[in-house]
Amino acid sequence: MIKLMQNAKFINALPPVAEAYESGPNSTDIINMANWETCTFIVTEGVGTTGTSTITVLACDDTTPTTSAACSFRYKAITTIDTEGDTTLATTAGFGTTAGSNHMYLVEVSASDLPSNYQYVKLKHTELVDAAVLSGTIAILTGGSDQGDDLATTIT
Amino acid sequence: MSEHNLLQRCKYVKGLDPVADYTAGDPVYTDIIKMGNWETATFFVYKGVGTTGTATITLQACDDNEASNTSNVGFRYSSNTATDVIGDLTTVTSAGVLISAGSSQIWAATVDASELTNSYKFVRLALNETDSTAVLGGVMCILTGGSDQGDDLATVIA
Repeated sequence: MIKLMQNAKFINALPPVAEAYESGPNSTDIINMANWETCTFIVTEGVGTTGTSTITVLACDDTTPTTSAACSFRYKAITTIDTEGDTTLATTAGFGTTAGSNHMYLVEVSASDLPSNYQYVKLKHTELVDAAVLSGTIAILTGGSDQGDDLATTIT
Repeated sequence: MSEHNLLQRCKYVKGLDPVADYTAGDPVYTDIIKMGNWETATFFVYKGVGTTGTATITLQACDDNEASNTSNVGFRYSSNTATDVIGDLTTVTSAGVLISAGSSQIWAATVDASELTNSYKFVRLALNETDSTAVLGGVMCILTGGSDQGDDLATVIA
């Protein structure tokens, strides 16, 4: 069984803010997956009954990024209490969030899903319906290689 | 499927939806989460803007989903307060841990079902303000080590 505290790295990739999708696209930190097998983005939404965004995942060649390419990924939506939707494969076009407060979206990409020569990844929000949504995104990296006592930074 | 694919192996709970002043109403609590089918609960307190407000995290074992009886328990935590540098995993007593002031932090707190006192099966995270200045934040929970529940995971908050 994976022990998250001992086996994962967690990043406040897009700290929560009152109008997260405004003037998008707004993206998370660019995360280096070189030492990690899987990156799971957890998008949490608070109040905001109308606004929506399209979520895509971009493979990046560096932390700038100098070059990026959309990649496919897997996701789940939790829009009703703690009932999880099915795991769904999204194409490079991503998927649109559903209007409504207090939703959560789980987005997962494996390092092996990234095109060759790309080892960085970020999640991007592009506003679909322009209305404030309070939201943030955490990234959790799992399947890490042995890095000794202290995990290396993944965002520089 | 790799054991590292969290989507297939964990249960996610919106413990406390993000809000502009997440400790308003002090004390505030997450959903009460049933650990009957799960080995470990890990709570993530995530903060946006708010350089001053602080709060103490405690974890409470609960006897039912209404928290008719509660008992604080010790737990382990680590924090990510400077870019993505994660602090050491630290064990605390039932008195909990103080979240330091500062924007854009994550504090993670974890407890095993076997550590809940009185054979209680439920757990929640409590936040007690120590500085009431508004902080935009929320709390989510990931449950790991689940028993076989078939195709659909049972609710853990009812």
